[in-house]
Formats: sequence, C-alpha cells, structure tokens
Amino acid sequence: MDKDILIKRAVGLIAAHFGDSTAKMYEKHFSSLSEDAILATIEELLSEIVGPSNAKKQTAILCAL
Amino acid sequence: MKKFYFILMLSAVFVVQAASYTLINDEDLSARAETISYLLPPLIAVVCGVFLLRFFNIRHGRGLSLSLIVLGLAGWLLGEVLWVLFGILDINQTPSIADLFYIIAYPLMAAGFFMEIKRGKVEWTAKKALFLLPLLAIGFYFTIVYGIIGAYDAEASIFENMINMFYGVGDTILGLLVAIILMIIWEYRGGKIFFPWLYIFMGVILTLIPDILYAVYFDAYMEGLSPYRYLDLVWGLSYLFFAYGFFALGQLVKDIQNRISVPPPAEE
Repeated sequence: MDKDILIKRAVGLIAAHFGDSTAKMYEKHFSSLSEDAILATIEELLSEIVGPSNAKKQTAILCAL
Repeated sequence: MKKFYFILMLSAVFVVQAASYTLINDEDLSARAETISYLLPPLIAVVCGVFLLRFFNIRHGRGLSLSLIVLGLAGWLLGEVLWVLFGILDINQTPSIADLFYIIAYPLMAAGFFMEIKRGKVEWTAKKALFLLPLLAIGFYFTIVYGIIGAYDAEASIFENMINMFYGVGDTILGLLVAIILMIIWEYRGGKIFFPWLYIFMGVILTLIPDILYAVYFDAYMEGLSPYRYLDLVWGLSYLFFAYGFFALGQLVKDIQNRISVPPPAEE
C-alpha cells in the first residue's frame, strides 16, 4: 500500500477515535516512519486503548481498504 | 485536573446533595439547598461533556456521537432547570415544557450510542445474544409494565397520561441503550477506553432505575414524601457518573496526545 494512503487512513482512524487534534499530531509522527512501523504503531495504540480484539479488527479493516 | 481531585470534587457534590436532603431541618433553607444541590450534578455532567468535545470534531467520528450524548444531557439539564424554576414560581411542573426537554434527550442519546456501536465495529454474536437477550427481556418487561402501563392514571387527563407514557417509551429506549453500552464495553475489554464507557453505563443504569420508580410512585414523589424524594439523589449520582466518564475519556485522549508530543529519545 502507498505510504501516503496508509498515513491518511491511519490518521482517519485516529481522528474517529481520539479526535482531530490527536490525529494531526500522529500525522506528523507517521511521516517519519516506515509503512510497517506505522501499522505496528497504530495496532499497538489501538490495542492499548480499545483492547486487543477490537484493535485487530480495526487494523485489518485499515489494511484491507 | 488530577483524577484524585476530580473524584474528590464529585464526591463532595454528592455529599452536599445528600446532606441537603437529609440533614437540614429548617424547611425554607432545606428547599433552597435542595434546589442548588439538585442542579449541580447535571450542570457538572454537561460542562465535562463540553470540555471533552474540544478534543473532537463534532461533525464526525466519536465527536459526533459524543456531542449527541452531551446534547441529550443538556436537554435533561434544561428540563431540570425549568422543573426547579416552575417549582419556585409555583407553576405546574408536569405536564410542562420541562417534560419536552427531558423526553427529547432520549432519542438524541440513543442516536449517539448507536453511532458508537458502528464506529467500534461491534458485532452481534451468538454469545452476546445469549447474554444480552434475557437482560433485554427483563429490562423491557419492567419498563413497559411499570414505565408505560403503570404510569397510566385513570383520573389524569389524556395529555398528562401521554406525557407519562412518553417517559415510559424513553425508558424503554434507555433500556435498549443499556444493552448497547454493554456491547460497547464488551468490545473494548482489555483496553483503557473500557473504563470511561463503564462509568457512562453506570450513569445510564442509575437514570433508568429512578425513572421507573418515578413513574410508579409519581404521586408520592410529587408530594415530597420519603423515601420517594430520595430518587433525586440517585439521579444526581447518575449525572456524576456521566461527568466522570467524560472526564476519564478526556484524560485518555490527553494521555495519547502527550505521548506523541514528547520527542523520542535520540538514538546513539
């Protein structure tokens, strides 16, 4: 998946859960990471916040899009 | 504000409310203290909700669902203010325009919680159905029998009966919300967001129980008889749980933001 698209989707997911201001902060952070690191970061973050099972579901949707 | 001080403040508000209902012997002073302490919890809940919304864009995502829930609570707050005002001015408290604000809150909150289900990708599984359906059946039985049928008063006007039954319908929606929030909590188990939703769930449960009792013991409550007048304390507690749920959710978002705003340690 193209990195820019991945960042856009990951940021969208963060915005939906934790608000736009949080998403903007992560957008900047993600631009310095590789695709794998972005996915790992978002799965780790979601796992901690929404729980491991829901995080898996959310990241699977993110990758499938 | 730190969690400890916030809990301390909410506890103090509840203690003041409980004291104003139980400890003051002077009738005038008691009435005034009850009025102020009665309005404090819903006001705090709405203020906490508005503070939480500053993290979100209220046009989409969790911001939209939370804003609908907060709007519902604001409806209840307006209803409470009008209820108290009509009481002071010796105007009929129910049926009145206050009822409109109370009733409008139910569909608003329902919409907010339904959106939350959608965002959480919460799925209806056989295991969940097995657990939730009996609870839903019991909840519906109580709300329909006591909230709708029990609220019917042969001596009251059609309009009054309609208002009372609308509350029953609202409580049925609230019962459905309880099931929805249980599904949300179930989905988020193991995650930090589980707890704010648990507090909000407590807020809904503690609204539903006195709502049903209010419909059943309407006359005794309106006459200010004990223990029915203490229903106000349970409603007060429910608002404080909503407030704490919003506060905890805000703290969680703040925590996530702080984590990213702290630069990672430089690699050697």
